[in-house]
Amino acid sequence: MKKLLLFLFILTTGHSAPGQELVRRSFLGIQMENLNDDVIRIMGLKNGNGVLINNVIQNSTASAVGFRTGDILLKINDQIINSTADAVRYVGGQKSNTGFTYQIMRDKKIIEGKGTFKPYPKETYPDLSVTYTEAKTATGVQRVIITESKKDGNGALVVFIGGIGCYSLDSPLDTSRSELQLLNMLARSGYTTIRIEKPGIGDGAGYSKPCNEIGFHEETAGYIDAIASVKEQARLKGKDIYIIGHSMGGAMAPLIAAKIDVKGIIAYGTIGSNFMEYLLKTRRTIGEAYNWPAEETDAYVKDYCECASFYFIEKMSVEQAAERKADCRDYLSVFEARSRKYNDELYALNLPAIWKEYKGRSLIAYGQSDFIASREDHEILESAINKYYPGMATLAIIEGADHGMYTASNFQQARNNPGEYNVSVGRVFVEWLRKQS
Amino acid sequence: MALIKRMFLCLVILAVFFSGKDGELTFEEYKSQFIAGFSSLGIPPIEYSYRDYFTSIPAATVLNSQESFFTRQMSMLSAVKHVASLKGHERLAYAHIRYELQFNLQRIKLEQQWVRNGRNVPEHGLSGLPDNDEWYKLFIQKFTSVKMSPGEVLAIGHGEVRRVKDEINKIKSALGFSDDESFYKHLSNDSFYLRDKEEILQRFARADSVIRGTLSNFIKVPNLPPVYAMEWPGAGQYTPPGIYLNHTQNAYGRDVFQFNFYNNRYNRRSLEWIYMHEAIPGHHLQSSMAARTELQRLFVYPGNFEGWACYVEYYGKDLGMYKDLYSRLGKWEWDLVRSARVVIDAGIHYKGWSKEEALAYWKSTIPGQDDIAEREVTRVMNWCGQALSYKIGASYIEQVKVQWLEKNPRGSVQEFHSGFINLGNVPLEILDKSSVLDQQVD
Repeated sequence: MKKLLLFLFILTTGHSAPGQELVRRSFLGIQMENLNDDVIRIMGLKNGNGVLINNVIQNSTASAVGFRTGDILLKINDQIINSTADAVRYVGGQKSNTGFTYQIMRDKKIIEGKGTFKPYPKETYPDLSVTYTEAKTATGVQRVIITESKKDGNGALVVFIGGIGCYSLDSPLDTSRSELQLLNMLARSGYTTIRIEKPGIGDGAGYSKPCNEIGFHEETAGYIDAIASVKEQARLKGKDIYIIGHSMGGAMAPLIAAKIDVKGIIAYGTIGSNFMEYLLKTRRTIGEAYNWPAEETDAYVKDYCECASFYFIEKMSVEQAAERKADCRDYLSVFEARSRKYNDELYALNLPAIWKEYKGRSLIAYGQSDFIASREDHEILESAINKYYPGMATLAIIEGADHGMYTASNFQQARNNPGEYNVSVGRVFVEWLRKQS
Repeated sequence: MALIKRMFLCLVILAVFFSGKDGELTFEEYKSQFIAGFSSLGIPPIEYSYRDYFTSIPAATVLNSQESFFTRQMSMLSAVKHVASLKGHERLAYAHIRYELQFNLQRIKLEQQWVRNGRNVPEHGLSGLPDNDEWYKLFIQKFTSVKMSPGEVLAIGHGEVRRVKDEINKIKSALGFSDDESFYKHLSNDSFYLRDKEEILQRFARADSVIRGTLSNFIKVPNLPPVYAMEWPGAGQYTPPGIYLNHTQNAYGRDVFQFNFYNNRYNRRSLEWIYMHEAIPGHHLQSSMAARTELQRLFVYPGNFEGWACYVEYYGKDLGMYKDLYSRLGKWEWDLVRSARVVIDAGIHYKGWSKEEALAYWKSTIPGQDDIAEREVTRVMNWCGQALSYKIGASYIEQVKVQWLEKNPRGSVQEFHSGFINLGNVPLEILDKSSVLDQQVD
C-alpha cells in the first residue's frame, strides 16, 4: 500500500502535442496529505484549503522552485487544489516543459511563484541499458521500455503484459517493484525485456486513449500493434518472442499469440475459468486472507455472487445494483476502474477456448500465497492445454510468492505485510525459458 | 567531496597532534577531531533490518581503514591530558567516546571475519552465522547499548514474562475471573473499544492534564511544550498502537502523538500507558528536554529512548493514571507482548528457533493476541535486537536507579529522573561505568 501511495502521489504531468516523439512526462515530485480535521487543528489553520506537502523529492520541479515539507500547496496556475486527488488530476493534465505558477502557504503566509516542469527521471543501472521508445498502436501512441544487459544482451525478446489496473510500469523512483526486479533479472540472464505501457498511462497520457475508457480487446490490440512495431526494429528483428502475462495479462497473452508469432507464454497469477467462476473462487480466498469466520465468508461469497449477477448478467450499473442491494456499491465499485465495455468483454471470455488456439509452449505459474488468483484456475488451464496439445503446458506452484510476486508465507501475510520481490518467481521463469531455447 | 573531507580530516588530526605537549591533546581537542573523523567515515547510525545491515557492510579495504581509525583513536584517547579532572558533560563525553571505540572495534572484527568468510547473509536470523554467539552479543549491544550475554537476555525475557503474567493474574482475580477462557472472552468484548474520535482526543487531553499536574512527583522539569494527539494517518490493523514524532520529524511542524484509529476504534485499555510512553513522560518529554551535544547527534541508542519510554509506564500510579483496573491491565497486556518479544528475539537469533517455533511460543504465552502473532514474529525475525531495546533498556535504567539511590540515600527519585534525562543521548552502558550521573544530579 505504501508503494502504491508513493506511486500515486509523485505527481506527473502531461505532454506536448501528439504526433511527435513521446515527450518524457514531467515531474513535480511531492508527496502530499489531505488537510483533515486533525491537521487543521494541529497546524492552527483557518480552513482545509490546499494539501500539505509532506515530502519534496530531490532534483524535482518542486525542489527547484523551493517547495518545502510543511508547505501547503493552494494553487497551480488557476486551479485551486483542495485535495490530493485534485492535485493529481490537475497536474496530470498539464503539458511538460511548460511554465506554471503556484501559490503555497508557509508559516501562514501566502507565497506565489513560478517554475517550469522538469522531465521525469529515467531508470539507470550500471550493467543494464534502458531504452525508452514508443509504438503507434490501435489506441494511439504507447510508451515501450526495453531493458537489456550491457554485456550479455541480444537474447530472445521477453514482453511483459501487466494486470487489469490502469497503472504504469515506468517506475524509476521505485525500482524495488516486483515487475522491474523480475525484468532486470531476465535482462541480466541475457534476455531483452520489453515493457509496454498501458494506453493513456505514463508518457502515453494524451497520446493514446485513456486506459479506463477502452475495452479489453482494444487494449489487447494495442499490445499486439506495439509488439509488431518493436520487433521490426533492426537490432530486434528475427528474435524469438516470449510473453509474460501477469494476472489479467495472462488472459491477453494467448490472444496476442494468435496475431504474433510467439515462442512461449508465461502466465502468472492469471485467470483460467469464466470470470464469474473466478470471482466466486477468489472471494473465498479473500475471506481466508482476512481471517473472516467461515459463516461470514460464505455470506460474502453469496452476496457478492448476487451483486456480480446484477452487473454482469442483468447489465445493471453499479448504482442500479446498489438500489437492489446496498452492499453492491462496495463490492462492484472496483469494476468502475475500467469501462463497461472492458468488463463485459472480460465476462464474455472463454479462456480454455482462447488457449486452444495457441499451440506453443506455456508455463502456467501460481504463487502459493496469491489470494487474488485461484490455484484451481491454473490447474484448469494446465490440464486443458495438455489435453489439447499433450506436454505443451507446465504448471509451476511457487512457494512464498503472492499475486504481486512479492514474498509472503501465506494469504494473511500477503494481505497485510508482504515482503520484497520474491526472487523464486524469476528463477522459475528463467529456468523454463532456458529449456525452450 | 570525499577526498576534500579526508584531506580536511588529516589536517585536523595533524593540527591537534602538534598542538599539545608531547603529542598529547586536551580532551576538548581530542573530541573535536574525533567528531570530524567519525563523521567523515560515513557509518550509518543504525540499520533495523539485519539483512540490510549485512548487505551494507563495506569492502575489506574500507573496514581496514575504519579499524585503523578506531585503533588510532583509542591510543589518542588514552593519551588525553587531565582525564581525572574532567567534570560533568566532558566526563560523560569521555566515557561515551570510549564506549563507541570499543563497540566499533568489536563490530569491525566481526565484519572483517564475515567478509573473509564470503559475505553470506543468513536467511532466517543470526543463528545461521558460524560465530552466532559473538554476533548476537553485538546486536544486543547495538540496540540496547548494554553489554549482555544471550543467556542473560533470555533470563530477563523469561523472568519478565513470569512477572507480567503474575500481575495480569492478580488483576484477573480482582476483576472476579477464575479462568482464562472467560477472562479473555470478556476482554475481547466490543465495549472496550472507543469509536468516537472526539472522545478519544478528550481522554488523551485529560491524561495530558493529569500527568502534567502530577509530573513534579516524577521529575523536575520546567514547562513542557504542548504535544498534539491525532489519528495516525494511514494506520492499518497491523500498525502499532501509537507513535511520537517531534516537530522536526513531520510536516506539521508540531510535536505530535499519533494513535492507531484503524477501523474507527481504539481500545480504551491502551489509552493511558501509551500516552505515558509516547508523550509524557516518555518520548515527548525526553525529546523536549534532552539537549543533544554534537557528539550525541552522531549516534542512535534505542535502549536509551525506548528503555526510558517503557520505564516510565511503571510510574502510572504516581502520575495519576491507572486508577481503574482495566487501564492497569492494558499496561501489563502490552508489557507481556514486549517481554515475549525478548524471549523470541533470543529464541530466533541465538537458539535458532524456526518461525513456527516462535509462533508456537507466542501462542502459548500471550492469550488473546493471535491476530498480531505473525506480524510480531516477522518483525523480530527481520529486526534482530530491536525488540530488546524496550524491556532491557527499562530494566537497566531501573537497576541504575536502585544503585544510585543506594549510593545517595538523601537523593530522590525525581532527582534521579532529572539527572538521567539531562544526560541526553548516551549509551546506557556508561551509566555505571562513570560517576557522570552523580555529577549531573548534583
